Amino acid sequence: MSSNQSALPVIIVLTPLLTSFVLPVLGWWRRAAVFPTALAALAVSFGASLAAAHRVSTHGPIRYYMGGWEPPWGIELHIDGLSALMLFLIGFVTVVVGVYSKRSVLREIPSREVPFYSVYLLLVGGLAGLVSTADMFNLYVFLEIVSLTSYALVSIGGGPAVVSAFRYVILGTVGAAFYLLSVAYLYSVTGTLNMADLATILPALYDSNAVLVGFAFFVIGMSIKMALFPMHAWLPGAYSNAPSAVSALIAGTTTKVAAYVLIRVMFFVFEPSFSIEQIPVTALLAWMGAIAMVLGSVMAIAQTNLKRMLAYSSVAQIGYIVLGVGLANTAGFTGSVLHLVNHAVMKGGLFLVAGAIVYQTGTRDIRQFARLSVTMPWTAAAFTTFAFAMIGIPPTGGFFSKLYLILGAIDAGQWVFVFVIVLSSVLALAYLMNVIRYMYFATPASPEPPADLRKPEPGQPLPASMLVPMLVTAVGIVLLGLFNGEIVARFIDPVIPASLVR
Amino acid sequence: MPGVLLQILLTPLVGAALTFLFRRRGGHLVGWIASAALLYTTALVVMVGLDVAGGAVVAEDYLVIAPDIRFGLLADGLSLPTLAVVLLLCTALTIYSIRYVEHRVEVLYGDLSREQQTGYYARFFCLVPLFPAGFIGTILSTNLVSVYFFMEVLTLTLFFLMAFFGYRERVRVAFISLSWGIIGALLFLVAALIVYSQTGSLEISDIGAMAGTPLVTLTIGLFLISLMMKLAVLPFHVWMPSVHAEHPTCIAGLLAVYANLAVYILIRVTVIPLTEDFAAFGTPLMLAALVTMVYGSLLTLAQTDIKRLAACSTISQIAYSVLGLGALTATGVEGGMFFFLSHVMGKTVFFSTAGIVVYTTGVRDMREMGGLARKMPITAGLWVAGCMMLSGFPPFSSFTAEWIMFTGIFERGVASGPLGVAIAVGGLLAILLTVAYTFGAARQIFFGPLNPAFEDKPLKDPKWTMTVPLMVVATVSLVMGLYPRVIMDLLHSVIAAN
Repeated sequence: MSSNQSALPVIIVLTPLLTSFVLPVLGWWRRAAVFPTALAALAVSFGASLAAAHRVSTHGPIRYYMGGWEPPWGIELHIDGLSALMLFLIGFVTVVVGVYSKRSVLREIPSREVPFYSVYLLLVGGLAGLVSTADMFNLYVFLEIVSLTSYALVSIGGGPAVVSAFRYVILGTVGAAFYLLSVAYLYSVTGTLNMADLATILPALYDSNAVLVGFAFFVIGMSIKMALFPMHAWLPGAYSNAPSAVSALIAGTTTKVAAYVLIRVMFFVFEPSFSIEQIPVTALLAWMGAIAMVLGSVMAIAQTNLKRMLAYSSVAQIGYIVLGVGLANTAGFTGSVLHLVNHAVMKGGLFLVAGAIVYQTGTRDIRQFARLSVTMPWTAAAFTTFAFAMIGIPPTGGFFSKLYLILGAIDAGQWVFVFVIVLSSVLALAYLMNVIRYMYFATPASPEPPADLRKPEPGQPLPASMLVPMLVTAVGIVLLGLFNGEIVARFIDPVIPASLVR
Repeated sequence: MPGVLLQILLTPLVGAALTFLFRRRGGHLVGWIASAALLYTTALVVMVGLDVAGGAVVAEDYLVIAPDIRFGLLADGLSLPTLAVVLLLCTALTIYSIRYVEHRVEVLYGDLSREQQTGYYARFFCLVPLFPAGFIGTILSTNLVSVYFFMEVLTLTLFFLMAFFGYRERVRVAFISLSWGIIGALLFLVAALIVYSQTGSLEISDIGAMAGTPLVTLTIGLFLISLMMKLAVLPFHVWMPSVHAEHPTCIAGLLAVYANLAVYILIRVTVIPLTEDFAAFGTPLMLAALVTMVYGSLLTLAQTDIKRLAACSTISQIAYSVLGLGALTATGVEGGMFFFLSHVMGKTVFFSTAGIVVYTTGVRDMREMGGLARKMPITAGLWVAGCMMLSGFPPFSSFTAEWIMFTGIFERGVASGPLGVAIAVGGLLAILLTVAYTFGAARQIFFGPLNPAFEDKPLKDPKWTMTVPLMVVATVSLVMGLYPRVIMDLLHSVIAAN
């Protein structure tokens, strides 16, 4: 591994973190400057992520030693293809949601934009740190930053969101505690926290009970954090009751970074053979993923609240990612990582659409979407694009990740998973097409919707600052599909663990 | 001309984009834009057709999306005649729709403002070129994933057209067809990926490497189930009658192509590359086809609704080509293809004429019609032509097609013993049923005493944009029937080579 030193990781992580502390002061002095400053910080971080991604794809992984302390003593930031992809994803989602949030926040949580953007940036800093650190305990710190800020952002909406946030806090903390225990177990036998160091020391200790327990705790903790069925109880409430911009942000990032951590530790800190043969956790994960895919979709079909439906669909989509991990071969791994990225973009986009609909009509009830395709044509078109991506219709990104997953299942000879992927796609078709049906083909029901639902005066078009991010994301999901070959070749192929079976 | 196949594929899309740009302009402008784009594409296809008829094979290879998903186009003796006929129908039906859709929009969205109605009218012509684009892609693609992609394009286009412009039950029925279409396409994709995992290639030309491998039966089985869902062969026929009854009549012919095109795909991806392994499926396929033929014909005889009549007949007609295909002799397969082309032309004329009748009279029940020939002579003439094209009367091409096809079926039947002969004879007898329902309907609608209710109404033949395209289609069918060699030689050059 070439020692490719660069300060880019620090810029990516620290810009949002530090700006987050500046914002409250700035807001005290001049409130109007808060949003531009926050957006600028996000843009700088995203720009640095792009630069880092370019550098990684040309020069190989980037490493940075915090304070000049070399690992295994100091904290190392390490950006390989996987981290670079995640950083790109985080940057994209946070910038897009950032632009979108301006009007939405003004409408939904007026007079709280200073704390909102301050916490928002803290969350972004946490996310960026989480995916670039190479230190297990440092990862825990970032994980907690991400979790605590998410709780805050969910509860900022007030009302039912507070209850949902409370549930999220309880379960999230349990998950974090499991993770911390796991790190403690590993540290007690290895004496190190650096991932690369752990990876060299651990193989000799694979029979140690401490390692086994640590690993089990780790898997449980991460399963809670990413809302893997049946540990998903916190997710539907948190996603559906949070303010629109927050739903899009956390749906696009928090569960995804948890999935990233799962992949990172399972395949890079431990050897793949450990989780495949030592304890057959991959087989278990594959089945849990498959169950999540089916049950999440079935529950999504039953919803009439659009945001709740999207939340259940997230439970199902997490199942895809976990299934790919559980297949434990290269195609499954590729599909898993690719689906992680695709799902973040398309689910984030879907929540943006849901937010726009709430903004314009004041309703989340799917049954009241009649003629939305006439009143909000572009929003409806964006929804359709995302829906196609979710169902997996080419050339959107969703198709290609499913392609790799099916291929992984075929390679593994697991025909039942091929069937489950097909079934889950059909179920996704059922619940998403139901929305499209109301948007495009339903005639308005004869009784007028309740008066309090028609908050904005009709005829007011959707602000461009909300429309453009949606359309950019919709184009993004198509581009992700068209250039999936590039992404796989540049970022995913180089990091696939050599010991993973084809 | 460089990149001519790509041009053929892109022109309809350009047409759709232009339609979108002019969507706010009222009148028939958008309809003519879409039609012009299709006319241009058809002209290009005919041009390439001349090359291919001279023995050339035009192949183009374009961008690579993932290492193994390439986007290549291939025009040979099998794909080109199919494409030419399909595009002819698309063009004819688009021109036919210019007036028909105006009428549909008025009926369905009459309560909306003028601008919104214009929007719906434009929506139709924005969507309808996606059909030819999907057909072109499906027919010309050399890669299994591309074929899958274009199949999805077709399914979705059909869904939106149905749900926007169909009849009473349109949305529910659109969902039924969408579900069947997507499930079918997904099974196709799974089969394609099995091919990939075994051969390391998604190119159709490499499927042959599967021959004799352990998974080949599973692959063919999946391909077959997937395509039988499209073909609506028993027991996968559930979606067809309701869909055909509720869709807007102007895309009826396209729907027939949509379903029947699976015969072409089946030949491309299984029959040609995996002939040996496919043989095991031949007899079951023929039996299913025979049952479907009889079932479809009987179902048709029982209809009184003019649209359902045409709808149900598609079930039995498609089964004819499957019967020819199942025979697995070169003649049978070629005949099956030829019958597919003849059938979709016949179906277009027959169905669109039914649409004209509903358009002018506003009635769908055939029992309330009668004697219309006096008021609408041209329409009556077209209907009779449609009847002849469907039931295989000389000199139309379906007669020739049936002749060739049954030669192939009997070849196989005689070789394989009593069951084969029985299937062949059964198939021939089923044709009688077709004659019964097509001409029976003609008698009921156009001849006999004029229904007193229509006595005073100023019924007359519709504007030329609705009749002339159908006449052109009938003429082409006539020419193909008189000179079948042109098409048969082309088909033969690909099918018999394997």
